[in-house]
Amino acid sequence: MIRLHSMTTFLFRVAVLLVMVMGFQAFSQENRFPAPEFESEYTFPETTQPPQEGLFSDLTDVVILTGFLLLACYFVFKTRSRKGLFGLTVASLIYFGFIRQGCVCPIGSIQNVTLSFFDPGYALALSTLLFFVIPLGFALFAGRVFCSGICPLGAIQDLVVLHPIRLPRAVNEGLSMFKYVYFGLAVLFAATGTGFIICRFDPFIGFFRLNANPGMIFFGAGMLMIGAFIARPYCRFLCPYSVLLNWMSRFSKWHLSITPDHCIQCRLCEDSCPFDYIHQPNLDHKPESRRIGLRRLNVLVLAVPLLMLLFGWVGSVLAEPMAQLNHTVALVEQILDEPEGATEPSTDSVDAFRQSGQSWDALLATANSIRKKFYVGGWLLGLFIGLVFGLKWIRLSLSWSRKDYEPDRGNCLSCGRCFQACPNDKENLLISQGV
Amino acid sequence: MKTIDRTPSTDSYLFLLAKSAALISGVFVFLVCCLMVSNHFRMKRVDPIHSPSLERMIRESEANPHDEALKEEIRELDLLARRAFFQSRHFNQTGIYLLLGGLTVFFIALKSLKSATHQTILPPPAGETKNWVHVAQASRRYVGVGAFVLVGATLWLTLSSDLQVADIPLEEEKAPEAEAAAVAVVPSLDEMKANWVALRGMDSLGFAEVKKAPTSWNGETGEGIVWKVPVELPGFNSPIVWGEKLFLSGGDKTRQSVYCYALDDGRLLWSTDVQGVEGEPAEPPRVTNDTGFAAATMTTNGHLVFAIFANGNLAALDYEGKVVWARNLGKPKNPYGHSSSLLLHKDLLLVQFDHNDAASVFGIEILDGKTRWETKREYGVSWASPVLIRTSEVPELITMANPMVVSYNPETGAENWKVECLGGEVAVSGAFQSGKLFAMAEYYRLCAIDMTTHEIVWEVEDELSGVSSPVAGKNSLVIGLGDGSMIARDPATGEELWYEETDFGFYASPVLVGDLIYLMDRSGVMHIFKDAPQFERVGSPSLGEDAVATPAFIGEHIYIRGVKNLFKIGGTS
Repeated sequence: MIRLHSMTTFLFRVAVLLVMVMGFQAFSQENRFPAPEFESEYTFPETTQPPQEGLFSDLTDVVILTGFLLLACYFVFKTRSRKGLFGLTVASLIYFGFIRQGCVCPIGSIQNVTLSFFDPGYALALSTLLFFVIPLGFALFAGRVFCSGICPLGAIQDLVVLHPIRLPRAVNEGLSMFKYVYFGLAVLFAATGTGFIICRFDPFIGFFRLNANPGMIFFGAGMLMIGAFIARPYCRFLCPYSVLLNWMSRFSKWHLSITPDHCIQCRLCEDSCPFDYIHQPNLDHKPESRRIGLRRLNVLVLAVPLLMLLFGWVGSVLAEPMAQLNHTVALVEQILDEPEGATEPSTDSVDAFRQSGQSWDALLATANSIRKKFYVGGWLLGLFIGLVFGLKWIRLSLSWSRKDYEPDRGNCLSCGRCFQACPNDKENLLISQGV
Repeated sequence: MKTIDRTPSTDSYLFLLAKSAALISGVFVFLVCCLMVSNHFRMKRVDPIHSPSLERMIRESEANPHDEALKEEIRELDLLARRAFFQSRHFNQTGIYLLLGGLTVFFIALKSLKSATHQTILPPPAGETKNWVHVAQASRRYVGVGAFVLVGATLWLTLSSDLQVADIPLEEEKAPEAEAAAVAVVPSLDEMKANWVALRGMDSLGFAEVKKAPTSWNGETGEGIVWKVPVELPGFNSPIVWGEKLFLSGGDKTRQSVYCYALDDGRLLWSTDVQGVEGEPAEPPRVTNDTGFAAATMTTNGHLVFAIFANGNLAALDYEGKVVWARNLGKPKNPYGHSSSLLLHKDLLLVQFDHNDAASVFGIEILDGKTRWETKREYGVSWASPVLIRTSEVPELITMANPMVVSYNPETGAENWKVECLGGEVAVSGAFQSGKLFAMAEYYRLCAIDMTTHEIVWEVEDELSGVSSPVAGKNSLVIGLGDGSMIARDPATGEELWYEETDFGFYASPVLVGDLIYLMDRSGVMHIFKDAPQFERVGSPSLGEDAVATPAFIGEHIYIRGVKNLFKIGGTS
């Protein structure tokens, strides 16, 4: 049984690495053609641009990311230092957040990678691909060390955790489903070339760049205020990248452990995780009747395909309104909505389209192609969300025996707060011995 | 973490400092947020960039393009609007800095307060732990509720709101409305002005938008000639220019073509024959040598070029030389040949088609060549080209024929007014200055018509042109006569200001460039003189070959069609 598990884990790791390597083909595609030049008597002011950073700067970021990840592994596995992780959090917030202004980040890179698969004309930068792949690779071997303090979005939230309130476990599970929906939507919108919604609704980018519209700023400030009491809400309930990290981390070779030695069941760590990602031992819990559990499991297994179909249908119904968010489809609709005989264009987009000389037939064909993509994508999105909900139900119906306090391998953010609660921890032992 | 014994050292100086900092920074963050919200909603309400009064003034300016005072007013208002907009942006930017700073102090102060408390970690009380079976049961319920809320909310949003998109027809079931919804490219006035889109410029009034042009060149030595390329087929039409392309047409008895040249080096990019058009007469019309088969100047909207030939063929070609549509307006019965040039107004091609058996003015859809309106006329044959005069929101289309000057609405073809003042063979187009329209017919008269009252202000009967149209500057109304003389009259009174004789006659029309007038005689000598009460010659460069077409003025260059070659003048060769 153990051998079978190890083999499955090994095959999974190999498959994931293969997919990552395949992604490299995308960055070799050609660049987009240059912007058109316009002729008029207007003299454009001379454009001044900061010097191009080039590949060296991009790869510097990749090297720093890798270095930070290795440091995080060192603090999690070797020194078990919460202070070290805290320092890394601050450093990462300063560099990846305020200096690099939150871009490129692995969370947003989901969209770049997706678009490169669906749009042959889109050139994926090597650094973007590496930013996408490297944290996942680390998660596959060391758990979510990227979330421990390297992700600038996680870092800024981690620093404002003041008085974390523990949400009921059931509420936690329910809210955590939103990130799958967000992940699916982000992939769909990127694949159809409609937009990068993760970047558009990034709550903290306004702070990192010290420039954003008030809506984004208030959203970010609100998220920080909530984060003072409900720790890292974006990471736990919304972050689409955490979906992928969760999958990788479940199969990780090594993972953070609460105690460096055997657990003495002191229960001191029980409430130490502000995210409630510590599973308690349950050997002494009164189990559910096996007959009831099996019957429910059978029902749920049969219900999963139905649930997928239901969500798939809902996704297809939502396809049309979602397609409306695509600028080409919206333009067609604006033109069709114009009153008959109107001489003035109703919107700037319509005006620009008329000036461009592009034919109506070509525009209509493009819009219809996008609508078809949304229809297919809506079904796939629905099937995915239905599957995720179904599997969640099944997982919550299975009995997992635990004799010790263990971190949730998929969700644990490797922040190291639980180290401080464990009396077996080296640092705590020294304190207890008065050193 | 369970903690007990929370005994904050409240008497500590640092504790009090942190407490005060937290309180002050909290209030500060709240105030900054309030101010930013207030600024946000104020700017949304005011929206200075899309101010209705600014948009109204811009529309007025488009109708009165020469109203400099209005333009200045628009600039000032636009500047104010932009200032308001960027001040708001600056306010917002400052707000972000303050908010971030305030939040940083706030959280550091609160963290300090927390760390100042003594905490002892103890395990939670026994019995607090819930049975995982119950936890899992509740979790399943919450996840299930979440799933169905998601489904319900999605369906409710989709089915009950206006998020449904319009029914866009698919290609295979394309509705007829989709064809009708195709849109024509309507260039802005600024774009039209930036190019040379018709005979004698944008509205065919002989005004160049550029203020300066070359004044010396020599076609024989090549001095001041950038390039010179031969034109295959003859034609008396003038070149038109859009962007980096120059177009002209040529034709003989057997073939009529449209040519496209690269503006930078004079390369012939393409030429397309316009032949085999449905309704095209089997026998070409008779034309005289000094009119030919391609006398009418083309026009363009920046995406299509339009050409008309002596056999009545009218065609639209795209910028790659492909014929988009073509139709025949009927074989013109005309003793010399058709010569009225084309004009463009928004999405309509305006065609004056006056001939012996049928005379009409057409408004033709530029998209598909269909007639949107046709106004029949009873004035017989004429050779003059129509002009557009923009004194109101809708410009007036002015046509000349024996015996009437007629103004039409170019959007509907409705007749605005008419004045009987012409006679004989009318081939000269109108000129306009300071509210007066100047109409002329050789051997008949030259008259000035008040565009407001539509009354003849003054008229003269001598020194008239038969082919070359006049141009009216602020100080002089200049006419190039067929016998080689040039005359300038006072636009206000018609009195003769000066009279000069040259050796050759004039077919090309004069063009006003800044305060200079360029008038080329049939030998290719360009007479350049000031728009002034006295004759002040600036130059008289020669092309080195005969020329009858009015030149085009774009940027720092002049494009002249000689009888054999096309020239780009100005700068180095």
